[in-house]
Amino acid sequence: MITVENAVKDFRKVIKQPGLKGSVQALFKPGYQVVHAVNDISFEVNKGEIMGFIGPNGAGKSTMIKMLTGILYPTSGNISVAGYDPQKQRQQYVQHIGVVFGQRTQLWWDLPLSETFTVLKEIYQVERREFEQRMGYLNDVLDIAPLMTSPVRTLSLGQRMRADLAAAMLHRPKVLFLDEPTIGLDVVVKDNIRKAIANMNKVDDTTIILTTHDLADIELLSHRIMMIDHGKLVYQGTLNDLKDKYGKSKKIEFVISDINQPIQQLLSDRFSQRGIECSVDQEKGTLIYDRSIPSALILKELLELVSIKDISIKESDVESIIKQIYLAGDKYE
Amino acid sequence: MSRIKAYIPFSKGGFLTAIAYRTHILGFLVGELLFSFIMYYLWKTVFANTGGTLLGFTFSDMVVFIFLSNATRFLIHSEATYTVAEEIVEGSISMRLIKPVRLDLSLMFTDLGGTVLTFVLIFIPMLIGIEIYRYFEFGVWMISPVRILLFLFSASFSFLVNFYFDLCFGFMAFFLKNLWGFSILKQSMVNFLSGSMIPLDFLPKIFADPIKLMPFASISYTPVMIFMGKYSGTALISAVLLQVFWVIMLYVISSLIYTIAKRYLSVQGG
Ligand SMILES: Nc1ncnc2c1ncn2[C@@H]1O[C@H](COP(=O)(O)OP(=O)(O)O)[C@@H](O)[C@H]1O
Ligand SMILES: [Mg+2]
Repeated sequence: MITVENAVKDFRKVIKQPGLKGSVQALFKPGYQVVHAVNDISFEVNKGEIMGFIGPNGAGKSTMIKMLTGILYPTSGNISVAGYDPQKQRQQYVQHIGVVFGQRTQLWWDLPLSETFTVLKEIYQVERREFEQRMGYLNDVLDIAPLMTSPVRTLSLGQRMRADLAAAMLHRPKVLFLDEPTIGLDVVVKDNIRKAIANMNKVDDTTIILTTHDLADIELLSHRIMMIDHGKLVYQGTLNDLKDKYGKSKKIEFVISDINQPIQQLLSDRFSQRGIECSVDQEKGTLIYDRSIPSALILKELLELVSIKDISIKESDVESIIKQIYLAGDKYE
Repeated sequence: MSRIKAYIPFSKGGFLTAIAYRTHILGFLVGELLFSFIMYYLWKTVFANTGGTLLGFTFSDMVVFIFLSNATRFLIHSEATYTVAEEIVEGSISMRLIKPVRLDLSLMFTDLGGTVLTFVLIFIPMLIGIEIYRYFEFGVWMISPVRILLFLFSASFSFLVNFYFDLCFGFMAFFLKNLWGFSILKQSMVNFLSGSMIPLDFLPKIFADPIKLMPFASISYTPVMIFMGKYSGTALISAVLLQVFWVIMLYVISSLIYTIAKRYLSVQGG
């Protein structure tokens, strides 16, 4: 559905020396610095797939989306979506895509929400029957009917995002691009939005590309993730692969019932030579061990050693894995 | 072009924006009227010393010229340069580009929405004012539906010439971050060379003839001269053909600029 080959986008940033001298200099001989916002990225996305771009601020996610949607021209490289060249065939191409920029809106600010849909119906030439059917479906997943008569500027951020998502989906796009669709939303709204996105993916087999720096979006939605940092692709694969590859450790957290024992000592004697990390802080203790060691074994030994009130076992979470990858990336800079 | 219906919402948007800014427009109108009256008194003094006519213009011709030129300028006004520049700075140009519409037509139909309002709010009253003035001046109604229709016909080409000229400047915003100085230059150039300040025929022939060939005359001078009956027969036809020529030329030029400019677009923010 989507093929990107060696996409590069450079921006020229004007650099100004501080002070009056700098201002005068910038007026006559502005200095430029080239920023590689997207730096040689290639990937493919299949029909019906949900692909998540993840990366810190300034990684190049939005720039990638703007190239995929035909807004920006790549400095070099090839992009093809649904058989179209997004830049050369922009007008025909965008008929088949939907776009939501979390920090913008395509809704008519001063008019009741219903007006936006009437306008989009004309622009995308949606037939009346199809329009009514579609609005019915969008209302089912996004509950927009109660908002229809309110001027858009009076909607809350969460309501606006629901409406924006519906607006992007009215014309049954083959591909939906979402740039930070959950930014600034509270947990409940985020959850509703995610459910709606997943539903639209399932019902229409819509291919979805989303960017986020909220890991929960990725965990709950994406079939596959692409991690980018400083314009480069640093990881591409499924979330499970990522955990297999980088999340080598597991963690046992426990609460000790009798803190008068020399627990730290006991644990270290038993576990340390085997490469298991132990730490104790007041009544809380943790063990971090390689996932190849069976958890049951460690649990058994631990329970024999100390008396314990409460216990939990955790996979190393994606957040820490990702931090690990970014840190590694920065080292090679 | 077959999908004109898809562009109607843009006109509606332009119309609503214009209504939202109606106090703006009225303030502007007062300023322009004031300007027209200053011109009126200026020319009155000039004519007082010439004894009736000046280069084929009587004083009442001059009055019609001053007020109609101004009304025409209003009527064909385009926001294209401003809109493009603003949307690029703000980044909202993205939202326009993700719609299956042509950039030029979407901007043009936005302008047309405002034109509807200026037509009703400014042009019609001005026209009525002019006809009343002529009635008192000559003692008979001078209204000529044919002239008015010819004027509107020519003025629609004026609109197109002005629009595509404006658009050429607007596309400069793809390269330049700040268009402000540029657009002031453009506006003064248009105001002077379009003959809406001084009738081009008042300039020495050596200047007037080349200026008349430039696109600017096609912007407001031609329809005004047609209304006043200064152009008729072959002169009228060739003036309108010249307008058509400039519509095509400027359309082609703006398309060329856009083809190059769109590669340079850089939109800030998410
Ligand atoms: N129009 C622009 N001009 C100059 N630099 C830009 C422009 N847009 C983005 N950048 C730079 O490109 C990099 C990537 O930005 P962006 O794609 O917005 O990142 P993200 O969406 O991942 O936060 C950043 O360093 C940003 O400063
Ligand atoms: Mg971004």
